[in-house]
Amino acid sequence: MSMLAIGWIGVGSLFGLLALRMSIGIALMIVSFVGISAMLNMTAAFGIVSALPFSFIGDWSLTAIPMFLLMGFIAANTGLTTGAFDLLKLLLARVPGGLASASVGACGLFAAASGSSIATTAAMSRIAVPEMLRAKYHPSLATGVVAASGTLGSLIPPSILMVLYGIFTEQSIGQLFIAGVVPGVISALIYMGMITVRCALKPDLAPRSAEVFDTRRFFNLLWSVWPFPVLIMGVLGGIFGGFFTPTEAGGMGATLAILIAILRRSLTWDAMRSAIRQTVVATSSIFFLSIGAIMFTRFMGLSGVPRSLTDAMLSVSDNKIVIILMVAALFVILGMVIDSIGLMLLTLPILLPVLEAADINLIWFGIIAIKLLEIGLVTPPVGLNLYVLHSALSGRVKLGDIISGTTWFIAMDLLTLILLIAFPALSLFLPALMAG
Amino acid sequence: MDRAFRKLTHGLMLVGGLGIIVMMINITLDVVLKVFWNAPIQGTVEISSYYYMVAIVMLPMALVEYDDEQISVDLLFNHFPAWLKRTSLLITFIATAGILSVMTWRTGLDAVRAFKVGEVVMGSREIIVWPARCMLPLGFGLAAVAAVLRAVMLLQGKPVTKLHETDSAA
Amino acid sequence: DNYNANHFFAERHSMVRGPYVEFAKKVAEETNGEINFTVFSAGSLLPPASSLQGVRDGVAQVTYHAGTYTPSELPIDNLIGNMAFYNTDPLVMAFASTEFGLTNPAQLAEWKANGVIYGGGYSTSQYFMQCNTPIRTLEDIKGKRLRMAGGAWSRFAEYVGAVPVSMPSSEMYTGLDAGSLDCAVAAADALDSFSLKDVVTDMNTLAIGNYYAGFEWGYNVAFWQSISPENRRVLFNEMAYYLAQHRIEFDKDVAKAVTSAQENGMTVVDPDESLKNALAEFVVADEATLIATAKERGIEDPEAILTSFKAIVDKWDGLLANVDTTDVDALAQLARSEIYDRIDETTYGVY
Ligand code: NA
Ligand code: NA
Repeated sequence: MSMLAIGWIGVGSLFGLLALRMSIGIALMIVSFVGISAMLNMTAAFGIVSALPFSFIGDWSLTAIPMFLLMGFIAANTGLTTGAFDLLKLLLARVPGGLASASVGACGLFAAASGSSIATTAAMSRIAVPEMLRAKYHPSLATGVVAASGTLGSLIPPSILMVLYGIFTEQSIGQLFIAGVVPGVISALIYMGMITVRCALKPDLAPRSAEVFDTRRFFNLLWSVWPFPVLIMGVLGGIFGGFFTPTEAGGMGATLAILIAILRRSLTWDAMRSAIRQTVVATSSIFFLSIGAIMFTRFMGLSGVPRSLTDAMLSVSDNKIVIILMVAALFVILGMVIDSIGLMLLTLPILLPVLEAADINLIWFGIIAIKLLEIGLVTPPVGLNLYVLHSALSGRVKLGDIISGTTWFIAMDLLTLILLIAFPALSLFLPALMAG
Repeated sequence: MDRAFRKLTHGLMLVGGLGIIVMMINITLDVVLKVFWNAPIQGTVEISSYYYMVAIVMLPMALVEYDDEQISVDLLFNHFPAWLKRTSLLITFIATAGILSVMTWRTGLDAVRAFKVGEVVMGSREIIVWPARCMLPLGFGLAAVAAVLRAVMLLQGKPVTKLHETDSAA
Repeated sequence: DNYNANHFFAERHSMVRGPYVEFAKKVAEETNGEINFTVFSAGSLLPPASSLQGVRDGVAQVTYHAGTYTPSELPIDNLIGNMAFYNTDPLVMAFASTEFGLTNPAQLAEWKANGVIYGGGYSTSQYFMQCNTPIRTLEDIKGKRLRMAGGAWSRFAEYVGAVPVSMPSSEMYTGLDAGSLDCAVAAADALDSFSLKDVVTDMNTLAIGNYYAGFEWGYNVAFWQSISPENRRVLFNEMAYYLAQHRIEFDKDVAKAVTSAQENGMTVVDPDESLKNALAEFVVADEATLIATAKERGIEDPEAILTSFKAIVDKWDGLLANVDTTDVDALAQLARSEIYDRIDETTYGVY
């Protein structure tokens, strides 16, 4: 049997195993191990088991994930952000789905400090979602909005994914960063627009607050609002002031959350213990799944599935727009089962010569590619943002609800993509302006 | 058996929890010392990556498996008839124990090899990492045991998932 | 047959595009398709720290490996890899480390013990300080946060009173931009390949060594022994060519990156006497550390290994003084006549 055939059988078997309610991490590991054994030999399959888990867990930049999760759990368990959301509820009482739109904004703000979508989701999920659930928002809206807005982490600079794309394609990282600003803002605005329209049409998604605006209550709340801005601004300011790196920001954010909770006298032993327990369980289950995901990416790479699919789709036409649309389809399909960095590394060597032959601007393409790779973060079965959110909420919201909640946002992403493809200037005019 | 195993996995989870707090303190101190006194804690990056993170991920793994906290999709499963649910779960537990045994075996060999050569990593300081390697077979191995115990519980008709529907079916 | 080739640099880097991408094409032609390498770049097959293990286990049949990732497995390679300041001419170090790796009996035993067949070495271009603040003198460097490659480089930073910082290369850009980092110490092609030219304002040309630890090509034992001696000779010839070619390309990329950064306003300064003297003092002082570390790791006579390596370095320093160092074919010819032609393809690595 050819390696390619084994690769496709592997993809099929993965979905079969998942249907049995096998844990996603285990299913990915089994398919990869058996698949690599069949393609090469048992020694090579053992070699993958040997090489990947330790070096994957031992990646410094991933420390930000448990640290931001801890920050979120502490903030949530000590009611740190309740004041801010109560104020928002009061101010946005007349705006349909106001808290969801505010969450998009908060994610966007956090994305300006964090280089990673998963870290952004980890930080915001526990802060924003419980507040929306408390306001009786539909669980799929409350979770979908954060899973999707978390992906702004890679589109709004700084962005680890853009750095890697820049290195790989020899494009200026600075130009890519600037090029991501407008598309990031557009994505956020489109999300907010969709939320407002949907909630206006279907009010039970996000019940209107019955509260009447009351000046005294407003000033009372204003006093309790400070922890949230202090926390976010502390993290943002520390990074932009050069005091710490986006990775170190995780640890600093968690410490800051504890300090604020102590100042507010809301840090109890119980809150702390459950925050730690929740963080540990969430981290362990997310990393376990990720180990499976990176093994599966290797299996896919060795089988040649991404290569052959890319070749097949690119041979259709050499028209610019057709090529971009083919890449979009390719990334959405492969993005379901391959992690975003792996997908980029496996397909770019084949894509680059074609893009260059078609004279496609690589900064523009980079922004489109990153937007597409981000969609992969919210599509199952390998969609880490979904699982970060699921774990951060300790299973309070069903995975099915989270997945269905993101579908509306993915639809909006496709709309954003159409705009980005139709109007390259949206990505390119800022970099051109900066270059003088 | 159940209680002893739960105690063990719970204890390891607590060690993982300790790892998370120590990592936070270490990173914070490193930043503060660096910013104010230009005196970072050398080795913070390596110790965080190879010790704290490995502890946080690996040590709670058995508890995560035992308590059905691994991430899975139950969209189709919920519509299965009871016998099929039980069969699926049994296959899942056996396969889980199987692949985790493979992981345990191989990462165990790696730990032995790392111990023999006295494995270190080179950051701004040289850091010994072979002890961290031992946490992988420990975590994977106990998670494999957890999967076997769940299979036994399933056969005894005890609840093995957090889903109520399944509990009554099993 | 199809085989896997692994490198953790990006595909367009001078150490991948010639020595892996073009190399794979040429090897396929010259062996009539008997050896067909699929190139996996940027760590898409194996993580950097695991490439040695991966090639031993046959995940890849040929790989690049940065030796400092595995100090305990490769103590001899690390001993010579950390001698980065003895001679800072990258061309000399690339050729000398290749000859040493292919011929020194202790080093050959070390490769064998790790289940890899050494094919050939490499060297990066010189490491320079690329900073967001002017560094001219020893006084300027004190207290600055420098991103270092570890090992001897970190010891040098501490020796001159700077603060060595570990961070992944993907964070260099944002670190220099936001100011959590003052200098990145790397080959200057990083100005382009990591876009550092957007955030670096000053570069000091103090030659802080270059990186050549490990190997550019290390082969899986079973693979090496399964191919015909004729095909091994093809590999030898192509490695000789790309050993020379990658050096010239690497330097070209550096020159291009520096020129375009200067057009962008970056200042290039030469080190003053205080910096040069500090480096010279460090090099002398550090040799004792190298020897002590090597002994701790069980090398019986590190002094003898250093002496033999220095002899090879000095020999290449002389040989390369007499050739046109911009002529790939002339350099490749020298690599063949002085190194690869003297190795017997019927016996090398066959055990
Ligand atoms: Na960002
Ligand atoms: Na996905």
